[in-house]
Amino acid sequence: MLKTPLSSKPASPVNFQALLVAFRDYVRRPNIRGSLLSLLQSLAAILIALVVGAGLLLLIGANPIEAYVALFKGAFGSWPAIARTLRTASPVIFTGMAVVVAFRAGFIYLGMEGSLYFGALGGALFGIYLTPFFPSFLHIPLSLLAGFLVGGLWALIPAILRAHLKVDEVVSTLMLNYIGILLVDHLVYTYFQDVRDGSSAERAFTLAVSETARLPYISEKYGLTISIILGLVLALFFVWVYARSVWGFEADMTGFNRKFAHYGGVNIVKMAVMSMVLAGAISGLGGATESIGSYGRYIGGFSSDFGFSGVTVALMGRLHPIGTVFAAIFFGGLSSGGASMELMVNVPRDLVVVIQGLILLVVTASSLFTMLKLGAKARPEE
Amino acid sequence: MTLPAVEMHRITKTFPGLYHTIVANHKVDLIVQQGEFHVIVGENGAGKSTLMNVLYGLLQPDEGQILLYGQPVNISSPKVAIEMGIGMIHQHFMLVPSFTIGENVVLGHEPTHASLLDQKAINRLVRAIAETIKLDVDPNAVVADTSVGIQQRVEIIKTLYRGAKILILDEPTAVLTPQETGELFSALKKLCSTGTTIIMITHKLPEVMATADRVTVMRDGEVVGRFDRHELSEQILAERMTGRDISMDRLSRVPYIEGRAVVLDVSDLCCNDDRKLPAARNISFKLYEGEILAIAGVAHNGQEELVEAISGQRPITSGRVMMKGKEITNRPVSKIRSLGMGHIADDRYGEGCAKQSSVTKNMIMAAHNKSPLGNWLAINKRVVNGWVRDEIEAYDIKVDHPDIPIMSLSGGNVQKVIVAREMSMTTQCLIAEQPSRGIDIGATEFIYGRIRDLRDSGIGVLLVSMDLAEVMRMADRILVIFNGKIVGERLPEKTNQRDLGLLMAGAIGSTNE
Repeated sequence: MLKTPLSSKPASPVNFQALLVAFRDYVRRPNIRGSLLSLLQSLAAILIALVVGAGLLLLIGANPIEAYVALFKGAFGSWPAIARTLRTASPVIFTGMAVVVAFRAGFIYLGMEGSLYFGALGGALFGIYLTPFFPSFLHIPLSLLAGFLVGGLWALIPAILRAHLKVDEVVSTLMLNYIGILLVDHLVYTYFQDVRDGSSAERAFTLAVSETARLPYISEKYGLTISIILGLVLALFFVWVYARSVWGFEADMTGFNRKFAHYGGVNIVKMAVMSMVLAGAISGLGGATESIGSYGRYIGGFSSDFGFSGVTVALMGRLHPIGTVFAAIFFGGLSSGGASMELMVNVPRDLVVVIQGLILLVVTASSLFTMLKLGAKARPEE
Repeated sequence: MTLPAVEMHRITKTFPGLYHTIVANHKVDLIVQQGEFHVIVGENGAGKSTLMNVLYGLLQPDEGQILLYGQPVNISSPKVAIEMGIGMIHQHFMLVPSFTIGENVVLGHEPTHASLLDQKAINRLVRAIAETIKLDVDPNAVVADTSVGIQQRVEIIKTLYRGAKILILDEPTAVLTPQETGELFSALKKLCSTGTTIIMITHKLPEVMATADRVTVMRDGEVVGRFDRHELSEQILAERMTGRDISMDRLSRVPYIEGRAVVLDVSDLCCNDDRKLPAARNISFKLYEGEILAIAGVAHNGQEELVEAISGQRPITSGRVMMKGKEITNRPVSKIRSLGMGHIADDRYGEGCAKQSSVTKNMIMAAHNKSPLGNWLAINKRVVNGWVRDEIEAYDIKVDHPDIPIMSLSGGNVQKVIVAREMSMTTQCLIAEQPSRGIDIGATEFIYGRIRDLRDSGIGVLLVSMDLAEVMRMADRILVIFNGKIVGERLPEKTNQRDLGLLMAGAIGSTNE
């Protein structure tokens, strides 16, 4: 992944790419979808990860209770902590929702990062260059829409490759992330670079988005904009989609059994394209909420692996929209709490990365376990 | 008097279920004499496989005792069972596809010559075993290239090679053609006459009649009857198995009359299989209103692809299909379905349902976006719940709650869900692929009744089946498919299973109408 360090950067999550490829068959058996049981499993997974993490803390000679108290305080213990947590969670809600959309339909789309950057650029350009024409109440939605569309357009490439040439989407979307991120930077350098400020020349850096396109802040000090509310609204919308809508039903059936969906009249080619493009578009929307949000411009390397964090939170949330929101907030808490844990009790913040990895491992392993057990129980004969 | 080969006393085996404990075997007694051909018969879910898995060491009983040749034994694993001379042939074979037949047979116990595989010895051994039971196999053939029937023979020979004196077969004919079934039975009888004890599980009554020395009938996890050969009749067995009085008479037929309205007109249809090789070659037929037209054939002779082509799931490379005068060639599945075609898929779990999804969701598939259940955008949950409740009642589907995963239902009940769904959508034409495959007599009778009702209401039914008994009972007219072509047309009253079997095997390609 392209790494351009930013001063405000939270702890960088584990690069889960290799792990993910191994999980592909697992996530294609979407028995992991939301229910009370799976909620309990996620909570149990968190607990197990914390216990193992405590063991590691003991090994390095730290007091686990002190460390966890510091972690929790740093995550949720005060308004600044909560604001920082929600700020980190915001983009991950979008990428997490993108993962929900693609994975539930059975497509292992991993191009969130690339679409995030395209969406960020799309949103920023609308925010910068449409300035004279629109008042704020139109300018913001239009810029978000631009991010949504551009992110979706970028996802159209692997979607079409998948639908028509059966190119494996895991590989194509992963690889296109690198191309996408560098291509966006290249476009910015070539056409949109802010040359008035010489000090920023080592990084892709557009002009500032005009005030009429900036997302309103909830807390300017901590960079928390209303994007967290947009993420919540989006999640609620997808709750409806999967509980009631025809498309959500067909997507779920396609994820469960592609042959069954085809036999039942679902156009699988269309479903592949739509779910992947939608996943890209949602990622792009997330990118736009950053570029017209707290950053106020497109900045190269602005994402600290928001894309792959989306996979973590979506799996932790059992591919349920609300579960994903909670997982994203928990995830944000780990990141912001990790920083203060490092300061207060001198435990490296990398520990939270270990905990994230452990949670992902336990979540997926535990639902695999239930699936096998239920399967064996349910059918003593045959 | 010799001691019985197998005695199982008061075997009880339970499984923890989703909502309540499932009692698979309740105080089951089984006694099998040496050299006996013993058949355990019962509907799916009666506990036959569980009992045999206990005997083979795959499952441990909660209670009960097992004696082999009078000695109490503890069969803790299949390895122990094999050492004690028990062999089991499962429905799914455990062979290495890339090995030859000979290599598969000796795998794990290879004869060696100067620490190298002794190919000659292998061939000799395999041929010798095959000879004793008059089953013809080529030890040098690679398993992947052989038919399912041959692979089953390899399994049997492998089991015998490992010294099995007691052979358990779980539904061995499910995958065989009628001819292969006959050969299997004569081989098994041959084995019996040499002193091997055979225990076969089945739910097909004609097979019981053809083979059994003694029969144990199971229902709901208990033994409900034991019969000697001379006491047997299909009628008695069916009643014991189902606990109901079942009429084994033929269902009423509709005489074949020319000149009725055509429901489905298939002309010169060609399509390819998944490997892009021709599967259906220039198939033409007409399905009339109010008739059941059977397409009989051994599996993988193009009928699966033909059905997919008609229902819109597979591209038609040439030819055309008309339904009630409307062209449906290469139209999308959703379009063809909304014109009134229902389709009971043959692969119940692979294609007919989404296993992990709920009964409700499986039931509404393809009807979910049509009035009254929903529209193009949303599904009306309230209407759906009521409708699903009604269907569950109308089709007598046994389910705790419509929102539990469909895979927790028995095979027969899953099939009923599929049949309910497809019949609710059928206004013109129903394609029924293997509607009774792997389900019990009760569910089969029920589904047959529904298909017949549909036929009587004027709908054209295309029955695709490799089960000749089913074809003979249900069809008003029979087409036989072989190697992608229709090789014969018969009326059921003017043919018999032998004639159809030969046609299906491609032995005669005539069309004596």
